Amino acid sequence: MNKNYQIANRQLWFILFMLRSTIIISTLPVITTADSMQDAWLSALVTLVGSEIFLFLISLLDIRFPQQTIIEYSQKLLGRLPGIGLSFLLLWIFLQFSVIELRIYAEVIKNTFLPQTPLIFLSAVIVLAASLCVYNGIETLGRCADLLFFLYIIMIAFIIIIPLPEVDFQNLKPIFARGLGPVIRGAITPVTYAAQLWVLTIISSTTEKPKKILNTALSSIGLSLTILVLVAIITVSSLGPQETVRATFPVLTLIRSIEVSPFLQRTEVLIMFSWGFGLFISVSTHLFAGSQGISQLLNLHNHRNLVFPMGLIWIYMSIHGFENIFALNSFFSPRIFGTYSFFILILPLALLWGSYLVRKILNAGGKKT
Amino acid sequence: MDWSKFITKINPLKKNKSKVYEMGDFKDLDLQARIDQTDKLKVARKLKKNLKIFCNVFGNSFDLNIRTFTVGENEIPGALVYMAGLSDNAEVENILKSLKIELLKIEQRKLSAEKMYNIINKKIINNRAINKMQDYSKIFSELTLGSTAVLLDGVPEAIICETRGFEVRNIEEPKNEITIRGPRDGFVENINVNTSLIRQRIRTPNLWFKEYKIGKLSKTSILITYIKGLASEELVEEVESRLKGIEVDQILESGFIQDYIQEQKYAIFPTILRSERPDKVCSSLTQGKVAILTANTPFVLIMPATFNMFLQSADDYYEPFIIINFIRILRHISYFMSFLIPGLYVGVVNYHPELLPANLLLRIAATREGVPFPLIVESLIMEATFELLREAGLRLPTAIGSAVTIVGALVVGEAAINAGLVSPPMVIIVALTAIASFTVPAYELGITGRFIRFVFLFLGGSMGLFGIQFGILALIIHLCSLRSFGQPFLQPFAPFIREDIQDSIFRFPFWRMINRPKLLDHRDKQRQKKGQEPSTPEEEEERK
Repeated sequence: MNKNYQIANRQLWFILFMLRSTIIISTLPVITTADSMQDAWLSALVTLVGSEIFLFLISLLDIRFPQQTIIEYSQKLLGRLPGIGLSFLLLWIFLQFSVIELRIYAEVIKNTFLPQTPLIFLSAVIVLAASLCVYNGIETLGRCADLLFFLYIIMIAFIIIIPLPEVDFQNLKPIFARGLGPVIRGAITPVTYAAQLWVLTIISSTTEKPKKILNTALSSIGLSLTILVLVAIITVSSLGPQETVRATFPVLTLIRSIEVSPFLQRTEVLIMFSWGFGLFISVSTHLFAGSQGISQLLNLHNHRNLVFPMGLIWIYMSIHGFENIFALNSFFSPRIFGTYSFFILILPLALLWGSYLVRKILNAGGKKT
Repeated sequence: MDWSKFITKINPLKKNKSKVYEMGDFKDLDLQARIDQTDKLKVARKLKKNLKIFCNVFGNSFDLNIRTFTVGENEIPGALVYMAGLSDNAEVENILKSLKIELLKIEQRKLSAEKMYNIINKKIINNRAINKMQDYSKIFSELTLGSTAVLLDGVPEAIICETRGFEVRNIEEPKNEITIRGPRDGFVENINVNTSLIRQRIRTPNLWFKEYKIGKLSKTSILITYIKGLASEELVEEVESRLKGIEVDQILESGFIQDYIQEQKYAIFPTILRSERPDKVCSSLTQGKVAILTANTPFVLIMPATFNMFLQSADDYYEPFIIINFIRILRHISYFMSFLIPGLYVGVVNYHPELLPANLLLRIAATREGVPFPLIVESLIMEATFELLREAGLRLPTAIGSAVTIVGALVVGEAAINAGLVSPPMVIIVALTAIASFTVPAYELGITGRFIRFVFLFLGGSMGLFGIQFGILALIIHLCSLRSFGQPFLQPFAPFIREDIQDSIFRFPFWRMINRPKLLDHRDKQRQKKGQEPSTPEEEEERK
């Protein structure tokens, strides 16, 4: 592979970190989608474990095919047509998950800062930025991640530090008040959300050391979900479980309610900026994965020319994918999203691993005889 | 019967093609044809014919000097040809003198022209460099460099003596890169002086200058300068191949080259650093970079360049490092301020007034009372006026320049506020951006800032902070996509290179900068030995 189209594993780490933590911190789905109440942080812990298992499985599979994307090796494992079918499923996942993020961000901007601006304009601006980035190649994306990560991590630190004086751990009690059920239910949506990590199977082929992605991915996602646990603890313990559940965007509500000093009253701008940067990285990554995937499916040499037309689809879907933010929230509810998880998490994994193992056993048998 | 003349008579259309030119007689030809014809010319046996060629090709130019003389008992006629003003007069007189006097000392015999020519060549002429040439194209290019040609009747060859010598500007401190501490010499227009300025600082024979002549008409000499063994071969080859590809009429300034050899077509940031300071160029060379010296301009190009290099000043290395770290960070912040502030102000006041503390907001609202323009228009007018003032002041002589500043300060500052056309906070914002933009050491980066300031103003005025965020993202994407000769423009930050942080926004003390910056090959990594930091006597005892 050309040296010019590579990213360092460190950059992959940054990309995955921002990709995963942005959406999770902004909407805090462990709280908003289920009723685990004060045990939300336990749900977050379950999410951490669940996501890591899923990630472990896909990156372990990916390491077997270091220079190839899932589009290529799924056809090898499953055969041509089923492979193409699976590829389409993955492409759909890339589209859907980034579009959901886009929509949420656009809604928040519209509700809080620019009430008179049409939604389509807001998402178009973000998609334009992402398309520009992807058009310049994965390397540019990696470097943007390098640069934005530092800004991002500073803002995350703010989010964690600013509310500390308000924290009251009494709010977290009693633990396991209603048993394990709500805790598990709270984790279903965020674990399913880990399906966006399928992008790893495409960008891992562009890394410098594709064999080391297991370490990179696990540590990156591990840290980002640890931050999720922290943020969940802080949010619930400073806002109280009742108020947190009522809020659509708990972290935003939390930061808004805090006045650092008379001069610095509205620190939520920081969150919006970091969220925007994270979203940009996330949408770019999905867009890159999508365009790369399509170009490999169609045997095109260059994914660049696909980027801008695909951006249009992204914008269209972000507007017409959902009626409003409440439709999105009900889509996120464990009942629907949990069922969905079968198709986007378990089915592809089972197919790929199953055929891989079957092939391995058959080959081993073939060798013996 | 001359058939060609006959044919031209009956067929006028064929006239041009069949016209036979005499040697050196091609007055009405186009440029390319003239060049082609000159390339074919060789020195003739007859002196008169040769002199005629000189006169025809140079068109009896004012500065073409021909001095005739005769040698030997046979009185063989000869001539010296040189360009006045380019050649050292004393040198030329010296050659003429030796031809006239020294020749007398030799036994006066009736020598043939050929033998006389050989004696002149070997025994008589006392000069730095003597070449024998037959092709006129080479002779002409030597002449225009200031050499002198010696011609003798009956010999189809010319002796070229090196007699270069012309007025050179004094070496002065460059006005655009002033430092408080540091050497006071700067490059001049003469390329020999420039190479000597570099050679004086880097005495190793591994400092190589490779010459190229670029420009069909100007034949400008361009020197690729690097330290052999330190600069990556790949980089040098890349620079060479890009230079070789240039085919233009003239190179008047290094800016001409810059346009051809930079990587991205539509980059708004400069990706090649230019400098007039020998110390700056030398420090880049010793890091393994490549410099391009261009004749007739004091501006030397340095490549590959990174974003940080444009915000570094030469005396960053001459002052205590702790203070310099502070100043460098300040400089970086002020550069970003210089284009972000107006957009942020307009965006926040227009779209997110709730972000401001109540007192400040009331204050701004009160001062804006009665101002007839919307905020965005007001700031556009003010920024544009400021740019006009700056541009006007730049080209004017100092005496008138100060008058412009006074008018600007009075009209823009006082009168506009008093008339209620502009609010005082706006003037403060404009002044702040102006001051911030003056801290940028590199002019070429400063003008980029001036340009994107208006983009951010527009974004902030139309979309508030969301627009500013988009602007920042677009800026980062652009910066990240830039490369300078294969090197990412934003390194060592994107991609992040831990070792190279030592000389970026920060400057570590010299004894900590053990390794050279990581360029293409990273050859000869270590620059100095470890453990050279100064220590107090107590520490030294402890170490023992």
